[in-house]
Amino acid sequence: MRVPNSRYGFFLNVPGLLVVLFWVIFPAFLLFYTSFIRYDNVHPILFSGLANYKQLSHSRVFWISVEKIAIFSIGSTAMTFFGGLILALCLSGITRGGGILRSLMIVPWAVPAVISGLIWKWMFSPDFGVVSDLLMKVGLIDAPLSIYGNTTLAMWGVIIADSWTRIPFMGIILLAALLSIPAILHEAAKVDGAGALSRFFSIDLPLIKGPLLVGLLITTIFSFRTIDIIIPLTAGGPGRATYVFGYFIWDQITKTLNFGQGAAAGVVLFFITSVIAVVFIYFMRK
Amino acid sequence: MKKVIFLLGLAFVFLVVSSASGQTAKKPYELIQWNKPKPIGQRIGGQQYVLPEGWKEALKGVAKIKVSNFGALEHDPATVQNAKRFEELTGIKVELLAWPEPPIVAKTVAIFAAKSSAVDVFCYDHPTTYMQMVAGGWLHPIDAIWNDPGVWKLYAPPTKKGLTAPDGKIYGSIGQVKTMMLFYRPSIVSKPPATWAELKEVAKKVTTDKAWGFVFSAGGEMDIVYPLRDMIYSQGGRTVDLKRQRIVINTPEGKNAWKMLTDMVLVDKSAPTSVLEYSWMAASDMFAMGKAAMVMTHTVDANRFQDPKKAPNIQNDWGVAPPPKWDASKPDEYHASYFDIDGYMINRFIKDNQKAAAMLFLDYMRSYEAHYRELIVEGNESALISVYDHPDAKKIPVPEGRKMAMSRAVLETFPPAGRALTDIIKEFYANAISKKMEAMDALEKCQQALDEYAVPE
Repeated sequence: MRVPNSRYGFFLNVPGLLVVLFWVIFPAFLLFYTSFIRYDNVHPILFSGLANYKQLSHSRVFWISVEKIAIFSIGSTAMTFFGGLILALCLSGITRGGGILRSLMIVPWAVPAVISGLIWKWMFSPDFGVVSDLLMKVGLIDAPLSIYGNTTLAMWGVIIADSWTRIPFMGIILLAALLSIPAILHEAAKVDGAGALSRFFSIDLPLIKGPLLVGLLITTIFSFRTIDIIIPLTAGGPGRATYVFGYFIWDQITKTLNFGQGAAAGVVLFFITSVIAVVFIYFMRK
Repeated sequence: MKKVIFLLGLAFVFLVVSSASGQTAKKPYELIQWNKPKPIGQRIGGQQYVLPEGWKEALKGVAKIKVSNFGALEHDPATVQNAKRFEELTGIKVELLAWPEPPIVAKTVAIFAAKSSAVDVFCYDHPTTYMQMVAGGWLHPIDAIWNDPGVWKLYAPPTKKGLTAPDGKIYGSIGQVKTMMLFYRPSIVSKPPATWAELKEVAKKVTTDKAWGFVFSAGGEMDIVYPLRDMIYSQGGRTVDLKRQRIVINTPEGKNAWKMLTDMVLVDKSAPTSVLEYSWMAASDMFAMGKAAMVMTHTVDANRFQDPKKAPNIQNDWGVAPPPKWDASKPDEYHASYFDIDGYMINRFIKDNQKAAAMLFLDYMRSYEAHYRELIVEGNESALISVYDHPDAKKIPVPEGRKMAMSRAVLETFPPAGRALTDIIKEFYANAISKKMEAMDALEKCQQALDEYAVPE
């Protein structure tokens, strides 16, 4: 018996559809469902409509987390982008030993976020950290700097630590894109008298736009769910200076045991990241 | 018709018999006679643990129990030895699950919320966590193993209060306990301060470029609450309004404590602003590195300070004193720190015979024999006070001081969402230290935020 192509194609897609159904659609449904019930470990569980969302909108801590995630996401994505771009541009020009350098570049990406957090916490420690020690030795500061104990500097410290793990990922994407640009374009531009900066903006940037936007999209979305590096670094402090959105959800589930409100916050996060994705996809297609 | 009547009759008899047998059939854990061969207090309070009668029958079909553990097992030799001893006594394997500390509560909650039977026994690190699990309705009640007035006499006074749930039932047991004492460097502080008022002055005097006068933790989870509570208890105050189920810290005692904790950093500069990034471990590290003259930390840290590898800079230069009382006018029992329970609780969703095995495990882990190992082998604190009188207890650092600290310590369980509430205290203390708010204004705003966050009355 001959199976029609369309049906054959459908059967081939069944395993993938099942994965999506059980690992994506079903949990997403549960998330949405939980966000509409009162499930706070104190009162009986019942359907509560939009009550969780209403509570969220009145929660002081929730709005702090929204503000902090915006700062963190912009800071981390920008630092990752510029760091990755500089790294990729440097490595794209290296021919001898380039393979070894590219392999070394990946190392921070392989470090678990929690470990990265601890490394940076120790490096920035005012009591025995190398950063304060160096800055004091070169005379830039008089007394040790408590980065993670300072409500203004802590966010910068967290962004640096987070970007350090993400820069290699962005760097690899951009490097691959840069290496795929035919050398002849640069040679022709050089003949026409174009400088390095002009060649970058006129040749490189337009040709790597697609991979660059993909890298930015992934980095931005990842930054929205970041919590693993913040727990060992600051635990959301000091004074909630690094209390990002993911931490709010984490607290709802593990400290307050308010699953309904945690789910509502999860749905809000889902919509925020969806909007960001749509914006990026729009620019990618443009 | 006859057939129908016969079948209905048969069904009725079946129903009566099955319901009657349901009423009389005992659950496996009810088969254990906890007060035999001796009352519980005597059975578990002797140097050798004695198994209760009926345990073999109750544990039929159980080969293994799974027990969660805080962190890696190499740091918990007493727990490992106790689990092995339990295996020797009962033949039931104990699989200790070494869960890393930050996500341990999250893992526990996830398993409970899923109504999973994956783990039989969970550890908890604080009565507040335990009470949250009680509120979830996730725990199996174990009043039976505490059903002897004599058993409570074995433990430090706050133990019963810490384990008794709002419904009057008991769902947890005890593994080890924690309290704090004042550690100081005799080369810097010749006589340890007996009051917080003295400590403040001494800390100011001895602060140099190389060492802070006093360090404490205000960065990790629940951390600022430790020194705050100690100072409040030292005045005879408390932080929890039990009737309203509220944390209240803007009391006269709370205001005194808050002012002293902010003044030490901002006015006296005897403590660093980096207290905002210290966990209790980091504050203790500062002392171990010789960078602080005094620290209030867990009594168990005495083991670390005594170790030349872990604290090389303070060898033969550290002493320990009782927690300070507020001022000389206060009675001596106000030399009190907090009392925390690290214990075990049983998953409600496991099979009944597994529950029986889990209850027996908890029965063993609270015994004198198990607590002896906690104190002597691992240097943890024991709620079973008589363990400190064992001749081997002389081997541990400052046994008498620790025993006294344990017997005076104060236990308070925070209301639901207690961990989130302590984060609010941490937040506003940081705002005061960062000068975003004036110190006492921060305290009032903190209280307001605590009241707003709490579960409605």
